[in-house]
Amino acid sequence: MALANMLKIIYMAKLKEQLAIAEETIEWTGGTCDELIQLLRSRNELWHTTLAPENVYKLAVNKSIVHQNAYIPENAEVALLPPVTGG
Amino acid sequence: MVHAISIQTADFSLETEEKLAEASSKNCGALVSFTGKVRGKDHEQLLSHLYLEHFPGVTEQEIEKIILAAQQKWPLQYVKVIHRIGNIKTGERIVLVLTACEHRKDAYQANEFIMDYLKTEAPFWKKECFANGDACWVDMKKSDLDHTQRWKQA
Repeated sequence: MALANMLKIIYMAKLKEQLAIAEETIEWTGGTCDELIQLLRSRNELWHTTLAPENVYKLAVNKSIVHQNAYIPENAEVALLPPVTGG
Repeated sequence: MVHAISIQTADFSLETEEKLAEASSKNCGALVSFTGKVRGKDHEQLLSHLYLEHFPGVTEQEIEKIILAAQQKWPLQYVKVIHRIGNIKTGERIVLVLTACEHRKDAYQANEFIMDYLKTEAPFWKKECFANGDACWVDMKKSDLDHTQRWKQA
């Protein structure tokens, strides 16, 4: 059972390697994608540069890609996606 | 329209896929296939292989959206998208987009549309692993974004 007021964050591909973290759970009472990114960027210089706008292409909230500054509810799972390079 | 998506580590056979397409599209006069392969030399350094990562569940969902968007624009009878993940050596196949329609132009255009969108929307990430042991994640190309943008303006 999920704990209350938490957020699971998953880091994909290049972000996972650069930040040396695949996933984590933080305290979260709800907020927008921008608010989450700002919070993560404020951790230190590495996070600030790694999560620069050009390095975060999209976010997926509960396994669904969101295209705008969507709201992330508490107890959600959010994934940070770097620019995609398939094909 | 019959459509199928496969994200797999194994290689695929174009011949088998064409037979499947023919069996699933009754009055098909045009079958277009695009196969993407791993180039051996993209830079100064010699490439050993690519490593492909994706976002399970979300990748399939995004490709599904692309196929349905193509279906709105062209009378597709059959679509198959195969994308490989994991380690893929130079010269090997990496992606297949197969489209079947009654007429050629529809099959060509839908195929290009699906491939263009796949490159900018589907969550895949390529890492180039060089023969000398170096490795680096591939940067997104602006030209790929331009190709997708072109469909939005069309």
